Amino acid sequence: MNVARGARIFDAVVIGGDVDGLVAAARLAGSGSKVLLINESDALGGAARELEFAPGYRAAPFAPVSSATLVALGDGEPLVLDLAGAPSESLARRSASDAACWPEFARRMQALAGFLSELYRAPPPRIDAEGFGEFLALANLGLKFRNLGRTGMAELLRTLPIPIADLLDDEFETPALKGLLAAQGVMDLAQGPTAAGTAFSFLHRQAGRLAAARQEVPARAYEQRALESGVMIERSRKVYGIAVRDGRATGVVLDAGEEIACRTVISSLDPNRSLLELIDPRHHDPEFIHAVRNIRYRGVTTKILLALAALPTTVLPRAVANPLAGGLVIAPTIRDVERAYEATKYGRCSEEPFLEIRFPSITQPDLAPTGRHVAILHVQYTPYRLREGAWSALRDSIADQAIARVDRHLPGFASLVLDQLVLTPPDIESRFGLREGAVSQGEMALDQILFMRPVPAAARYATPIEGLFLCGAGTHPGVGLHGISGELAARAATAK
Amino acid sequence: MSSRQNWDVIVVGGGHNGLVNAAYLARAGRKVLVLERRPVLGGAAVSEQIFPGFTFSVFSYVVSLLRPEIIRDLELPRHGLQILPLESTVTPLPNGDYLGSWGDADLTRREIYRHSPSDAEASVEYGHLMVHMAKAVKPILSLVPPDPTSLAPSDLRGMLQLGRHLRSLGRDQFHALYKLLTMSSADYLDEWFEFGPLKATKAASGIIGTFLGPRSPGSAYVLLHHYMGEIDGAFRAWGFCKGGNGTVSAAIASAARSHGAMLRVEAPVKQVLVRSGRARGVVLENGEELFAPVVVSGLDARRTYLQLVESKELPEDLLQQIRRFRFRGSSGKVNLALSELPNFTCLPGIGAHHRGAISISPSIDYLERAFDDAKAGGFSKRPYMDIVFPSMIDPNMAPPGKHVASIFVQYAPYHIEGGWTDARREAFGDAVIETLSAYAPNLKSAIVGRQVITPADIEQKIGLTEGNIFQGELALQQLFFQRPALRWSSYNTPIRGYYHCGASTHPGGGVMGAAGRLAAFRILADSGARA
Repeated sequence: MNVARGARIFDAVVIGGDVDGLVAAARLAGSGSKVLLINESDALGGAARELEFAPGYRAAPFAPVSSATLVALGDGEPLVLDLAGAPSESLARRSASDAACWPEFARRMQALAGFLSELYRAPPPRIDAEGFGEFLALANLGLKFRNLGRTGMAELLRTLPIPIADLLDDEFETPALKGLLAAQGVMDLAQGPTAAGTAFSFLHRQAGRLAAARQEVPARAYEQRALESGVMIERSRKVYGIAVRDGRATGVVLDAGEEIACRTVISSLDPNRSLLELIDPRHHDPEFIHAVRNIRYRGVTTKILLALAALPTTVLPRAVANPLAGGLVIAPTIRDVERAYEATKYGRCSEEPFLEIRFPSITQPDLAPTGRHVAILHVQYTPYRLREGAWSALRDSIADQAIARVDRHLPGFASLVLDQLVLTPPDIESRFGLREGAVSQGEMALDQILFMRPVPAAARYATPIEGLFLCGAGTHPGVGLHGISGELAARAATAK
Repeated sequence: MSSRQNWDVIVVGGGHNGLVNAAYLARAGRKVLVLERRPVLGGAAVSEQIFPGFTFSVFSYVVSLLRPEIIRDLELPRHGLQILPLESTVTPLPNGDYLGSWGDADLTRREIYRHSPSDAEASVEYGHLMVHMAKAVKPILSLVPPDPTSLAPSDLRGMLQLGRHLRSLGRDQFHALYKLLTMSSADYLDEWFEFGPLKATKAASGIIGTFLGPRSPGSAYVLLHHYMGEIDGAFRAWGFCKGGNGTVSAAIASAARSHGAMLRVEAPVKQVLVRSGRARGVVLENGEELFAPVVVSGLDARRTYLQLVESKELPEDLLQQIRRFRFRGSSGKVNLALSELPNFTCLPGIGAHHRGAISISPSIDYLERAFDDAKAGGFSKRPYMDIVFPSMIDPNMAPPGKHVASIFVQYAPYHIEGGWTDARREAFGDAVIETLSAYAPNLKSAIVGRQVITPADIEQKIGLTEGNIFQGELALQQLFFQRPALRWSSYNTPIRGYYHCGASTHPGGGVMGAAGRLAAFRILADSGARA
């Protein structure tokens, strides 16, 4: 594809108006570039954006979560847990030794998540660091590692690869506690809690929560900032291709055949789309194509957005101020979560999925009409690729079962539901542009993080196509850390 | 009871690592005594006549990982070691067909082509990459793991050496190695192949001895083991030991004896004697005390740290790490004495496939289902099996015209619901025979003797905790500088003069002998430093 004469000319085009795309565009514009941002849908914000799923009811099912409160629903008294490490009375009533261990364990996990946060502030380290700057970055990382102290270093080395099931079994005895935390370790992963790397996934989620707690900014604020920096934003426009000549990006081709010339393209779409669908494969090495094709997405999550007549307040645990502001989790034991996973291997949905319910309207009352509420129900595992049957036939039964299950733990819940929208993995793909319904844009598994994300040859935002850069959840540091990859990609683009 | 200082070194446990350790130390001029609890030397690598006339490699059953430098240094062929090649693997398929992999590379390529032309092409490139990867890992197997949390010069030097090695691989190979360490074998193989039975048969070698399924991350690494087999310098050939795996142990034992080591059987060690933080010797179950300034344990980590010495001698962080070190034995063994060879429906009659391995691994799902059974607390109703007929290679192992079959079976979890009982053991054996009979209908009538070994039996008979054949899971957080514990991965222990040389240490299990050798070097270096 070549760019025709008379095309509009920009310094840079950013494809995708999610938080990372907006941050990248704002930064480029801030440094004096003329920037155009193309967004496929009408609403900006990408995966983090809000959806009006029923008249007057909105929800952002993939927005970052900053709440540290989790409540395990199961037999008997709900177990209330603060991930920041506050002592838990409901845990103490179950196990004195677990209650004694919990604050220290939570603090330890926070410290390790803190190390990840440090790691996430810079491009991923490379084994073959070149130049003084990179060596300095590596040395700096080494120093941060040492700063954890001998026990902390040991803890980190052990925790990163271990299955979360093993980590929890080593520390605790209360099944409800272990089930709850195991579920946190496998969120949006096509793996069960006995899989290696799920403790890392738990820490990664904590790092995302800490980041969200530090800067709770709605997607709209990023849009505002981009506009103020002088970014030109075009909505409801589709990019058909990235023009490449002599191994260099020269522009983008939009719907209606419009061509735009530019020297820099930054895409926050998923890596497969950016690298293989928008670019003619003849511009890539076969090895590179092979690597990109092998990125695993494997969405396993169904989100159900619910319009509620009221909060299910009757069953609130009294011990805490407002536990519904956190997440309610139905994952009784590690084994239950593992069993739920096992169906995925054979392309089936879990008979008993684990569930997490959040009520975002408690902290954001404007999401629902006055007095009404919104709930987001996370259902896992529901694999994108079903071996038998079609999603259209399964959608309603999955929702009915999930709501019925919540109703068993929160009696009366089902009768509060006024309206609902079920987002199965294919729905998430079509509505949010998330490949295979994976919010991660590439599963957060040990082999797809850091210098492997999205593929080694594009791990530092630059790609083998000169002038083309990637950002978004599919790049380092991955899902749930909005804005970091946009910032780092823009930095890489301006470093040239 | 003697109180004289008779020995320079006492080795506790006459498994192959203990024997290798003893042989190297004796070769360096040390006076070495090996103490073995059982009446036979060799630990898991023993040959025993279970039924009159029928000899079995009772536990471990193939050779490939035994380090070539050990074979060379100890001149094992001179001491009777003779490895006979095991060239083929045949996977019978439920549809009556089969998938074969033969000693002849061209034949194998044609066989794969029959099932999938693209896999035939991919297998060549895959083989090349895996050989490269095996070569990249080899130096790490003979590296004493440095402690990455330490600033001691030796550790920094070790880290630098490791870093230099990894950098020398180049970016592509480093990334390929990283993928092997972190991926599941199913995902890894999906990147290369399309034919299910081919992927499953390859993936099966990644789950042997582990509590992992082919879709579990971390299982890809063990795929490499298959390519590390080096017999007479030839990469990736597996073999039988003539006379069974006991001959490996016997050869190492003979080498140790030739250098002056003394090997005592039926000498169970009760405890290591420690005074003022120093090992002084050992006391046997019968009360006999034996003294030496150096004591080496070839037992697994739990026994080495929690049983042979008192906890008060060890720092709490080490004890905690050892308590958390995971064993979870997952495999069993069925040894059969046969009146005739099984006749496989897919390849009728007696043929070349009987001289190789038969793999019951028809699909990745099949293996995963077998794993699901184990996670749920039972043995696999339809297990994965790796079957060899040693009598086809070495006729002395069975009476004329008769045969022995060695069946490695997975999964048989140590922690089975209700515990292992005689009834459950036999039910497990029945499941194995039932599954195999579907492929070879004459099997049941050919059986003249059957020995079923569960992980509980392995633990009880040869002292491997929880029946784990690798003396501890080969999981990422239990490898290299964390094997068996961070800070204590270089064969010494907090007790001066007390060392550890079993497969619980780097580089782990599989009749490699590497740990025994590296520990011997460590002991010699330490004593040299003192001298």
